[in-house]
Amino acid sequence: MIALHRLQRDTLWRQIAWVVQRASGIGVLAFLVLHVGDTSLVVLYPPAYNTVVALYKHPAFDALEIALIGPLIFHAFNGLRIVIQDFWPGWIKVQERMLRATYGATILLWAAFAYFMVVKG
Amino acid sequence: MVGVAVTTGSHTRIRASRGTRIESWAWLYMRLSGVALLFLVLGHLFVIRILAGMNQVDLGFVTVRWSGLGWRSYDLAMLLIAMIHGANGVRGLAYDHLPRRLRPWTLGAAYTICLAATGLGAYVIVAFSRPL
Repeated sequence: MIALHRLQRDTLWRQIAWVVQRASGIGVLAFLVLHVGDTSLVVLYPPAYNTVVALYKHPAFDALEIALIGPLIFHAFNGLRIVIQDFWPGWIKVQERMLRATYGATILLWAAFAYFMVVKG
Repeated sequence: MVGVAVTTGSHTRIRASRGTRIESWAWLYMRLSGVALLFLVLGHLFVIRILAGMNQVDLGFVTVRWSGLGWRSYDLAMLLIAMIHGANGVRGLAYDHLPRRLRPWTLGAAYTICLAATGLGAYVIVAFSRPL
């Protein structure tokens, strides 16, 4: 038995996860299309590739990329949570823990990637 | 219509309509491809951004990375699986959040962009050829 206020709080975070899953999906797809575009230069116009990639190495772009990778990581972990809940209904018993693990794992991996993206360009 | 009753002899069962069956496969695809992409995409990011680092990425890096079939297959598989996953995701969003009259235009544009990007990406991965 869980307290009502805890259930309400988890419901709010579950609804936030639902919205973020959808918004981040669009964002990831948009970035994928952009990423195909920049990589296509290696065949279509190789001399421009290093110039464009140098743009990605700029500190301002680092910040943007760090901002982009968080929603991607969340989309992956939250998607895994959805898969588990769809295929293994028994896991409903630990749904609050899975929800927290989704946010927790996202923050941990996001921090790790942010660290390496700053240190290694 | 969700399904129709099919009677064979004394036995009657519900057969899902074509649309329902396609939605079931789409539902399953999103989950299977999602798990595959979790490993493919996070693996891709781990190798490029953590093991190598963006400072190493240039034309030479791509040449070494795509010198064999291994990473080319990895990237091609990731591209195809992700684009279908993304296009189907957009379809779901359009059905849930867009007024009916905007659906054909939005989905037409989204599918065209996805198809063009998939074609271009697949061509680049296959056609890339530079001496090491």
